[in-house]
Amino acid sequence: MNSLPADIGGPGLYAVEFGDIVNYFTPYTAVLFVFALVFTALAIASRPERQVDIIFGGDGYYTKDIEPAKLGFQRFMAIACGLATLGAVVSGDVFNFTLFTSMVGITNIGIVAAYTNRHVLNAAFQYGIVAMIATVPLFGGAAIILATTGTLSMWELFGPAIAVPLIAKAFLILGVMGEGMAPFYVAKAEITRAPGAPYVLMIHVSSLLLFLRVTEIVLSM
Amino acid sequence: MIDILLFGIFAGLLLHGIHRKVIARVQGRPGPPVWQEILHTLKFSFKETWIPVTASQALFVAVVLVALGIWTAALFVLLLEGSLLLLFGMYMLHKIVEHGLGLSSGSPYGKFGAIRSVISAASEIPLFATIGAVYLVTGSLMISDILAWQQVHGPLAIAMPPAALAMYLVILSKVHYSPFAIIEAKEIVSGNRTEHFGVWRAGLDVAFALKTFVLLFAFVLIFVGALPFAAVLAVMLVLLLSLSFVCALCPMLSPYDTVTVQSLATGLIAVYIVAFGVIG
Amino acid sequence: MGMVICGVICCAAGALLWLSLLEAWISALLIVAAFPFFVVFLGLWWNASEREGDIPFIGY
Repeated sequence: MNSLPADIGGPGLYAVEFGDIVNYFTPYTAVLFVFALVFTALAIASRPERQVDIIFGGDGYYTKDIEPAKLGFQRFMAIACGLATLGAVVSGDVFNFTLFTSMVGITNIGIVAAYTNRHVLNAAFQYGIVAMIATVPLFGGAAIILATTGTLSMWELFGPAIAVPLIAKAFLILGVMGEGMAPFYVAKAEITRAPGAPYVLMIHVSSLLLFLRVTEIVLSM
Repeated sequence: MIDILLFGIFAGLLLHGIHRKVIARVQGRPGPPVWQEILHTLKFSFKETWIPVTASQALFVAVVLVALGIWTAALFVLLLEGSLLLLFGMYMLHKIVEHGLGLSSGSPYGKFGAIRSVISAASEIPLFATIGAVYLVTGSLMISDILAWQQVHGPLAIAMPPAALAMYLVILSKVHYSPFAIIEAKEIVSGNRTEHFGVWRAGLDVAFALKTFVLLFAFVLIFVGALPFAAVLAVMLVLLLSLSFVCALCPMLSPYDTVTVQSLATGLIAVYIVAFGVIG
Repeated sequence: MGMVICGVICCAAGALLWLSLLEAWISALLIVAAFPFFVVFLGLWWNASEREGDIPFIGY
C-alpha cells in the first residue's frame, strides 16, 4: 500500500496502478495536473497572436503571421509537451518521471523548431545542448536510486524505511533544472521570442510544473 | 470564506495605495490618496473593453481568469491551513500568468515583458530555499503544523532568519515599483500589462491585490505564527512599509543584475541550509 | 447571465460552508472556479458600451 507523506503534498486522493508502476493524485499534484490541463486545452483551442514589430526609425509597423503548416507543427508539439507534462505530474515512478522530463526537453525545441529565425533557432540549439547534458544527471539520479534502494516506485521510496542517497536527489533536481530552470535557462528566455503565444507558453508551463513536481518528490524521499 | 476573499481584495488594493503613498512621501512628493488603487480598479472596470485584433484571443482572456483563480486558491490554501508547497506552487504559476500576459497580445512591449519574466525566474529560487529550510526545521509543510511548531518553539523568523530573509526577497521581487520589477519597467511602457486595458486590467488589479495580501499574510503565518487577525493585519502593514522604503530608495536594477542579486542571495541561503542540515 | 450564475455559485458556496452543509475544500473549489468569471463578467456587464457616445465639444 502507499506510504505517501501527508505532510508535504496532502493525503493521497486517487491512484491508478499498473502492476508496480503507479500514478497517483494528491491535492498538490492534482492542482498541478489541472493547471497543465488548462494550458494544454488553451494550446488546442486558441489561435496564435500576430506579433507586431515596429519598423525602426519610423511610425510603421507590420504584423507577422504564421503559415498554416508551421502552425500545425507548432501546435502538435505544444500538445505533446502538455501531455508529457501531465504524465510527469501524475507519475508515481521515478523512471517514468525522468522519461517525461526529457520528453518535455525535446518537445520544447520542437515548439520553436518550425520557426525559421536565426536568433531563435540558435537559442533552441543552445537550449537543446543544455537539456541534453542535463539528462545525464537526470537519468543518473534515477539509476542511483534504483541501484541503492532496489525500487523506483515513489510509494516505496517515500516510506521511512528507505533512505535515498543525497547525491541521487541532487542529481534529479539538477536534471530538471537543466530543462529550463534558473541558472540554465538563458537560452530558454530567448526561444520564447518566437511567435505563437499559446504554444510558446507551454515551454515555460512545462518547466515550472516539472520543477514543482521534482521539489515534491525530493522532499518526500 | 467569500467574505475574507472580498476583504482580501480591498485590503490588498488599499495596501497598494499605502505603498504608493509611502514611496511618494519618502521621495518628497505628495503622492496619491491611499484609496487611489481601489478607485483605479473601479475606473478600469467601467471602461470600454475589447480584445486587440493582433492578440491570441482565448489566451488573452484566459490569463486574466487564471490570475484571479490562482490567487483565490492561494488565499484558500492559507485559510484552510493546507500545504505550503501548494501555496508556493501557486506563486510559481503566477510566473506563467506574467509570461502569458505579455505573449498573448502580440505587442512588442508585452513581448519584452514576457521575456524578462522568464529571465527573472531566478526570483522563484529563494522560495525553494525557504521551503527547504522550513521543512528542515519543522518537519512538515502543512501550515497547520508550522503554526503548531511556532506555538511551542516561538517564531520561525527567530529560529531561521535567513529563510525569512529569502521570503522577504521573494515578496520584494513581486511588489510594484520594486528594484526587481523589470517585467513592468517603464522603458517598456508597462511591460507585460501594456495591452490589458479596461475590464481585463481591472481583473488583473484585483488578482494582484489579492497576491499582495496573500504573500504578506503568508509571511506572517509562516514566520511570525498565529496571531489575532487584527495583529496579523498590523504586522502585514509594517512589513509593507519596510518594502515601500526599499522600493522608494532603490533604483530599478537592470535585468541581468536582478538575476545576479537573486542568485547570490539564493546561493548564500543554500549554503546556510546545507550547513544547518549538517550541523543540526 | 453568466455573472449572476457565478455570483450565485460563490455566495451559495460561502453560505453553505457557513451553515456547515458543505465541506471546506468543496466550497473553496467552487469559489476558485466561479469567482474569476464573476469578476470579469461583472466588469463586462457594467463597462461602457463600444458604440459612439455624444459628439464631444470640439470648440467654437
